[in-house]
Amino acid sequence: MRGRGRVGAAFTVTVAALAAGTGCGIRPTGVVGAGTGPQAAGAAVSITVYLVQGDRAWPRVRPGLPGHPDLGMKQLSIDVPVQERRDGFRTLIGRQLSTSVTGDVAQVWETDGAGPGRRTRWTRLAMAQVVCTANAVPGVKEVRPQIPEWGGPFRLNCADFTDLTS
Amino acid sequence: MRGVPAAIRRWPSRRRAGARPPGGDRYRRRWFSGLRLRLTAAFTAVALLASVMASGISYILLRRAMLQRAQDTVLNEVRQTLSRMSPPELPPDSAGTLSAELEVALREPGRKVAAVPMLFDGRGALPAPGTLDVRVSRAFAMQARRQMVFQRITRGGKPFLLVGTHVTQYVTTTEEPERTTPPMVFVSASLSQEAADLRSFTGAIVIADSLALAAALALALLATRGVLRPVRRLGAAARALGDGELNTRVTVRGRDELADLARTFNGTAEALERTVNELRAMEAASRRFVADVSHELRTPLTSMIAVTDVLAEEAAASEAGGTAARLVVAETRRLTLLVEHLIEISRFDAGAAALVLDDVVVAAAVEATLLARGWSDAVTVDGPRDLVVRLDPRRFDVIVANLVGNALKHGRPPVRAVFAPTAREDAPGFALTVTDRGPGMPADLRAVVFDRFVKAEAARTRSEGSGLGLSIAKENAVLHGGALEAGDAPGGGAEFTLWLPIEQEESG
Repeated sequence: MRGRGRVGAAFTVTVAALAAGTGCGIRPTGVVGAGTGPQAAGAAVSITVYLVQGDRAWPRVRPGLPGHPDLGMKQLSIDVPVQERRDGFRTLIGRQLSTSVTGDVAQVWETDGAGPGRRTRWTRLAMAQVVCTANAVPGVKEVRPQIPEWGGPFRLNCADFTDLTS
Repeated sequence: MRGVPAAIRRWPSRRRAGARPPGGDRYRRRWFSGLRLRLTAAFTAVALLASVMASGISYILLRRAMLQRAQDTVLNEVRQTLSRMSPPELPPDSAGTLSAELEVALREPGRKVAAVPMLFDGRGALPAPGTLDVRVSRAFAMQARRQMVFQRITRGGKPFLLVGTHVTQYVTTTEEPERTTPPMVFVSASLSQEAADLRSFTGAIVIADSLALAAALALALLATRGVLRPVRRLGAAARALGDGELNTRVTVRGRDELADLARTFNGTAEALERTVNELRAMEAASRRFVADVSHELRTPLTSMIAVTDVLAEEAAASEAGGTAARLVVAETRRLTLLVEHLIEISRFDAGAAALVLDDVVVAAAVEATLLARGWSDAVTVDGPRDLVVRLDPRRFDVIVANLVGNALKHGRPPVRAVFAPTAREDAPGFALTVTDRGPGMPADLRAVVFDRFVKAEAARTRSEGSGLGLSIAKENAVLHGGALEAGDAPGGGAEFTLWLPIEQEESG
């Protein structure tokens, strides 16, 4: 009996060890490396943003995001990067703009509740920045700014500001 | 005759054995504690172990493959999506736009995505609590800055796969890297489907293992039955051989070790049968010789007794007193007694002894025996006067005479003969006990006291008895279906107890 008991115990221990080793279900792991991160290999597109240098608006080419051809309009209201600032560029647009492109017409207006940004002084040079940047969006031939301070409606394009652009 | 063991003498002749021996309980006991149970248990245990091991290994491999596939799917999708949607150079302050696009692109049922801005203060960027299904640890986020990492996490009993990474090979500026750096991306994917699949697989394994166990048990029973059948046959044959069935043989099948053992058994049984037959033949020849010699001696001895009686009478009238003649007479009578005993014992050996039954009053029969030998005054008889049994009065007389004569010769008075009805093993009978107050029986003599030619004083080769008296008494008791036993009396001295059944079967 003692011999059979030993055999039974050994068998039970073996099965238990096997079961423990197997560990039913999905067990948690530590942090496991899976190789280097993915390379940024998306399509390289560019956008044109008109910035002010001196008393004229100058086109500046910046990298864009695929699927966001009107990203330049948003770029008008952000801080100018250090490098461009160092080159004397600035923007007159204080608050974020919204853009809607339908066919070859782009409508532009100040975004409601655009945040704590400084209020835009809608000078003609500021309007040149907006119209030329919107006109630079591929396919856009006419820009309709809906800026209450200006009145309107206007149908403009960058050619209307040749005196302020280079 | 004395050289042949009693067991061999008792062995009956021919009966082909091999069937199951009696004793169902013994078989049932053996089933639960014997070789069959051990073989079955071992066979089943090995099968179960193999089945469990195979199932365990299958489970591990399947789980590994399943999780690997799930992990690879998520990792590849995250890697490809990030690579496809992240341009080498971002416009300033556009990480939020990219983050929103990445979250939309990677989001799926059971999967949550959080793209968070990269921090440049040495800390890993962490998604807001509740954004993902699991919490992202700081260590995980730190490692995700340098490479793609993943971790399986269980939360609320549900398993999740957490993936974290950051794109490489992008262009940024040294002055304002935070404005043009792509976001960190964290993805939590539910592994509930894989867990459910594993549970289903586990259930299937348990069922399969149970079926395998049942099949292994059935096969083990069949296999052990097949293996043990020859062993049982051998055991039955060995028991039959031990019971005296010397012609027992087992059938030899196959060429394995058991067949070899069966052949060895048959050879041994054959040799044993041959030897015993030779011994039987020798014993029979010896018996015949003794019987023949005894018969041949009886006739001349009868004549010699008659002649020596005459010589003794004539010599008694002479001056010398006839001492030599009386000695010759006494020795001749003793020789005659020995021959008579030898003839009697030969009848027992030859199976020719038969009972001549009659209804006998035990008290009267005992007293008659004592009276006939002149022992009435020397022996006290005690017992019910009306006890009547059916037995052979001549043989009963021989038994009583031997027991009482033995007590008178070798013991000391008082000698008592006490009888009373006594049942043995539910058989009605009576016991006659003859005791004396002598020195008792030596211990070494007790076991052989009923053997032939055994005498109390072994060194004394010449004695008055033949050395066959107690043997004949015992044979007579056995012939009646009774028993004769020797021992020490409670108060000292020897005690012989004769037990005979009251009823006898008529043997003719």
